[in-house]
Amino acid sequence: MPEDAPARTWSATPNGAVIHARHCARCGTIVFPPQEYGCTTCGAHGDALTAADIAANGTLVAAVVVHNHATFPVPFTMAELKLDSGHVIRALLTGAGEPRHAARYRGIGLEIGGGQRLAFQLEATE
Amino acid sequence: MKTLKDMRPVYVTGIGAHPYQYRSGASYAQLGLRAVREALVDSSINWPDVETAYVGNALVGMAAGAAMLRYLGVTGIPFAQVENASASGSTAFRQACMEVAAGYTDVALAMGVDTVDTWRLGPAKAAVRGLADDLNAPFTSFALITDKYMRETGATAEQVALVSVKNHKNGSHNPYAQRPRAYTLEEVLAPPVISGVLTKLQCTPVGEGAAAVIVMSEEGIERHGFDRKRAVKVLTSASKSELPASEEKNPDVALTRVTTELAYQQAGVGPKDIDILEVHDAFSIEELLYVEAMGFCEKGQAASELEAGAYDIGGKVAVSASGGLLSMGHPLGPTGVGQVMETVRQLRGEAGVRQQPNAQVGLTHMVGIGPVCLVHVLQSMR
Repeated sequence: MPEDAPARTWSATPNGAVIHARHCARCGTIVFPPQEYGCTTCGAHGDALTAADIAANGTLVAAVVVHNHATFPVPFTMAELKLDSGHVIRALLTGAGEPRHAARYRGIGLEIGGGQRLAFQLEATE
Repeated sequence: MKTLKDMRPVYVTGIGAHPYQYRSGASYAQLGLRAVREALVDSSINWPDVETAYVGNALVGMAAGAAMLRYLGVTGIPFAQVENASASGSTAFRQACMEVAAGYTDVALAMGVDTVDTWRLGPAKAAVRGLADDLNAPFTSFALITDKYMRETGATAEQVALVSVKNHKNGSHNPYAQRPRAYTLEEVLAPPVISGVLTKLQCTPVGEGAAAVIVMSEEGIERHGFDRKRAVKVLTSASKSELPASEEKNPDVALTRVTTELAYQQAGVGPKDIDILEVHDAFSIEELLYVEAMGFCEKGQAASELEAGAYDIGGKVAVSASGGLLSMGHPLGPTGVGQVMETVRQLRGEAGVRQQPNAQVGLTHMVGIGPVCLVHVLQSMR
């Protein structure tokens, strides 16, 4: 991997998608997006930052249909989600029906717009 | 720690601009020189009287300021080009104020200029990637914030759109505005829809233009015989960047609150003292968020206050009397300087049909990618 390539931000696993982050040994912050430069809370770097995964599960805070994009096929739905880890992220939404605010969503890998994307869909309710 | 209040008083004595407009093919130098010449005339000085110059821009490129200002006649003064994303012009103004306040110089130029160009964003080169950065354009980020705001406060899409109706009405009287036309609520709500409830007329047009102001000390005003009543005092310049432990996805709101509180404290004023507010209304929702963050009303009340006319010219505080970023436009580098220009015009009582009656104190506010935030408070000398 070239030295300046961005770190992978997520992976699909048999138990659902995980989001890759870094754990700071000095202050305990889970740093996302993942990078090696330094902890955005305390500045610790080098060996202080180790790989950590966040479960791609959380609740829907906001969602909008986007009608304008230069390269990605529109319309698509973007969401703000609060993950169980406490992190607030922006990600693609997938699945039929209107977005459900405050409902639980989980991440899956999705082939869309000419590449693999992490997208969130409504958790199955049994 | 010192603030402007503890240093030599500084004043804005001259303002000028090239109208903001859609891409025309004009060079940035052509736009910029018109703005500077207008500001020099307004300040009743000549270019050789200027002792230092700060040029804000985000897109033009290395050494653009020097390559333009030499056509006013070379004088050998110090130049610096300032880049701070959308707040580039505000930052150029801050640097000019600080230099004059510190006593280095008595007469400074602060200006901003940009043409429509490719955005070469630094953060994209830092090799750090989020989950969907490429899909989360500013209009989508603010559409998500709008969705959240409407749910939390009960504000309607129509109420959010009224920001744009008001600001375009103001901008229709501004000869420097890029979209100088009044629109009805129906027109603002009409397609094209860009993202969420945000329609095209609720998103700032990013075009080209230039704005310039002359900053002077008391000594400068004395030496050049400037009419003191037309000078506008700069009470403070407050600037902050990303705040610790801000996990919210709209850091601009918290940053605006903290930076404005700092400015109020430094200037010895509060929201009740502000008659004129030029705010970073790149998207309609932003005006509602920021007037709340700045203490002009309680959280969740901005939409109903706006609907009742509180932020109209003639209301308790005229917000974006210039038309704001929504109507006047947001050519990046010039925008923050253009806000100062409008505020000075208002505080002099020279804003014509846009005049806020009895305007004594004005506040300008810009946020930019970083995030960064700059707030300036200005006071009439009439």
